[in-house]
Amino acid sequence: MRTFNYRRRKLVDQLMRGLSALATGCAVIPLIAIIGYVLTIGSGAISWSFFTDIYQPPSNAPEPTAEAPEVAYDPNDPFANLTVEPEAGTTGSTEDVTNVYNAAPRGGVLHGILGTLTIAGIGLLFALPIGIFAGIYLSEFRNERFATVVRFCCDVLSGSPSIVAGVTIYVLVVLQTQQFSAVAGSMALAILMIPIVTRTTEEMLKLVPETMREAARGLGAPTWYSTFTVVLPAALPGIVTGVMLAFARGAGETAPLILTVLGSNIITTDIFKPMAALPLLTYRYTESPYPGENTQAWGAAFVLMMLVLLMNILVRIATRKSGGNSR
Amino acid sequence: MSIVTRKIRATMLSLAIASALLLSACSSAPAAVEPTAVPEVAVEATAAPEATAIPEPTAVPEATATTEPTKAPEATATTAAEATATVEATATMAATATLAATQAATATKAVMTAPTATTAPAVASTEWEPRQLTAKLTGSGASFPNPLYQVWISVYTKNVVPGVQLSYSSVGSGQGQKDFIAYLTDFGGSDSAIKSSDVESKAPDAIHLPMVMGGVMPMVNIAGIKTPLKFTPETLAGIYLGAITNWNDPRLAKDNEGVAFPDLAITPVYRSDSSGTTSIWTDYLSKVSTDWKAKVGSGSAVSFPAGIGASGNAGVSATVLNTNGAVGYVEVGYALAAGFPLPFVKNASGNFVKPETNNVSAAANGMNISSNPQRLAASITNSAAPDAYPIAAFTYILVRQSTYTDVNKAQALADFLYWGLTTGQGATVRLGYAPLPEGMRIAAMKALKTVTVNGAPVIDAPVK
Repeated sequence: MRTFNYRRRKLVDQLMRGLSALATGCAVIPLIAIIGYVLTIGSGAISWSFFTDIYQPPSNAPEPTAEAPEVAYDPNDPFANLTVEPEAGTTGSTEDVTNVYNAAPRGGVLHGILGTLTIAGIGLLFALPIGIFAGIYLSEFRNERFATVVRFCCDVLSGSPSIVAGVTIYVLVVLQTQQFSAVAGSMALAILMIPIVTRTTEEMLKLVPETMREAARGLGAPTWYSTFTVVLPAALPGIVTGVMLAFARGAGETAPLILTVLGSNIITTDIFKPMAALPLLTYRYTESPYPGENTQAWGAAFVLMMLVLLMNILVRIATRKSGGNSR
Repeated sequence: MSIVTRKIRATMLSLAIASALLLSACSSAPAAVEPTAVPEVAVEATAAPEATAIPEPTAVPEATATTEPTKAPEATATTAAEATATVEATATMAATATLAATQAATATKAVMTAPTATTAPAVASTEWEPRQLTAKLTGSGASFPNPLYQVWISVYTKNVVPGVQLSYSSVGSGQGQKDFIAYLTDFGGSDSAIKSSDVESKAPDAIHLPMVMGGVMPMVNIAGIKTPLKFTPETLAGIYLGAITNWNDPRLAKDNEGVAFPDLAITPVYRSDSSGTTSIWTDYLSKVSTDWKAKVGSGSAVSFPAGIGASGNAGVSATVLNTNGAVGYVEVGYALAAGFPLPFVKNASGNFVKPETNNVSAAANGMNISSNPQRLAASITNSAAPDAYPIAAFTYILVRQSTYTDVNKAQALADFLYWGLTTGQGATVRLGYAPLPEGMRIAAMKALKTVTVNGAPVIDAPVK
């Protein structure tokens, strides 16, 4: 009787443990699959010039090298580099066209990298003060009625689809100013970032022991002083993690950017003009007739993932150095 | 005073060019019987354009231009313009005839090289050059001409006018129209005309400038069959109406002798998103099939009675590639990129024609070109021309006739578009697009010249 019971419990335990492991595996498989797939296909587009060059229209002329530099511009035949030495009288044959379309991808996504950093960076500038102060309010004055309302609104906002933020900014900003711009995109991203920053700040501040606040108060510090010099620094690593999450979320968003930033094929420093962004490049390149650009779409996705990963690692290192135990 | 003289010089110049054009067209038209002789004859004959131009009809407008030059310069300019219009009309007919007769590629080359070769002695000093302006221009719209526009932009901003920043985003014709109407962009791209009701209420001064032509073709994937298939309007409508459901249907076999069709279900693939390609395809089917017109109709998004949907030209092309027995309609460039053979489609004259660039260009032969610059958009599907590919269309750039506020921007845009209509046409064939026929190209230039800012035209360039 006792043995049976023990054996049954052990069996159930093993079964449940196995199921949990399986579920964990299932959760990890998509992640590994995505990274692997993006890596294998995207790596075909990755080269040094992919990071240092901007968009180049397809052409089947050979890549310029030191020995054979690019053919100089000829005003009499401005499009000479669209076919490699077209035979006399054969211009426009379908094979030539197929050759141009199937040429190896050229150019890079530097404009997208810079654009994504700019747009998401400005978005963070909008989102940071609002999010952190809202988080402080929610944490330090958590019993006020208004705080409950704000908390609820934050949760609703973080659950709303990103395209909603895009449409809102499109109507409120883009249509009013009659201009697609990087700043409009940043605003749309800020809407998505604010709830993330707010909620992580709040949660991190809540983790700071109440005794620290009491100690500060006991030494005669007013609430604002204890909040900024005692509570906030103690929770900083966690808050930075939340900010990084917000940045990653913003950098990876496509839908709000389609409606607000439009995209561009050049590097622009004017933030009141359309700008390029990696997710937009990925989206547009997948629609391209050129197989080379389809490959570049995977390359751009790969760069985006690496960019977010790199930022995460950098910030982790930075916050670890500044003391405090990161979450 | 200097304006007057400049205007006179401009009219004289345009007359000289028009006569040169007429001359080269006339001389090359009979020579079309022996296509190899064309370039030499054209160059030789136009060596002295003024001398030979006198007996031509241009003698009349020249007289009006010279008799009363100082009295009413405006009036002279307009009459001269009208006169050149008639001259060009004749030139156009001859030119399109040559275009049809010779290879489209060689024809474009002739067009490209003719101005420099023929006008050298007379107007070398006033040959048009884009102004070196500094401006930032934004456009959005159709995905179909995107590869071509990107090549244009790249060459233009790198080598021709480095001060201009041009950005075109391929967001689709529908979105391009919306952005343009909302004044979000400086120019729009569209494969179809803005609905006339929208033009009146929202964009009263929109001009549709045809830039290039393209064909839409059925792309077929049947395992084991690599030969180009032949389609008739009846079979295409039948397949998309769901009436022809198997590749071994006798109606298909009748047109494709020697092709062993397997017993395989047909999967028609259509565009699920609103698209200019769908608009061209359904416009064609509505013209050739009363059944289609009654049951489905035309538009950029219709409810297809049969088949599966896919998003974007790339989506349709990918779906066809991955489905045995599928047929999808795509812009020719996408099929070429995927290495698919060009099919034959029976045109209105009963000939089976491939969507080669010269056949696509031929679809515009014999069309009526409106003299109203705001009415250039026209449907040319199911063209009556004997060598025309029947599912062809223009793709347009949308510009504003009078509501640009920034002179600099408007001038930079006009220069770029003018360059696209002249030099830029040389890139078309190499990318699988069909160049504009002469008549339409001239009409587009004239329409471009009607763009004004505060009443002053933004571009003063010869129409040639």
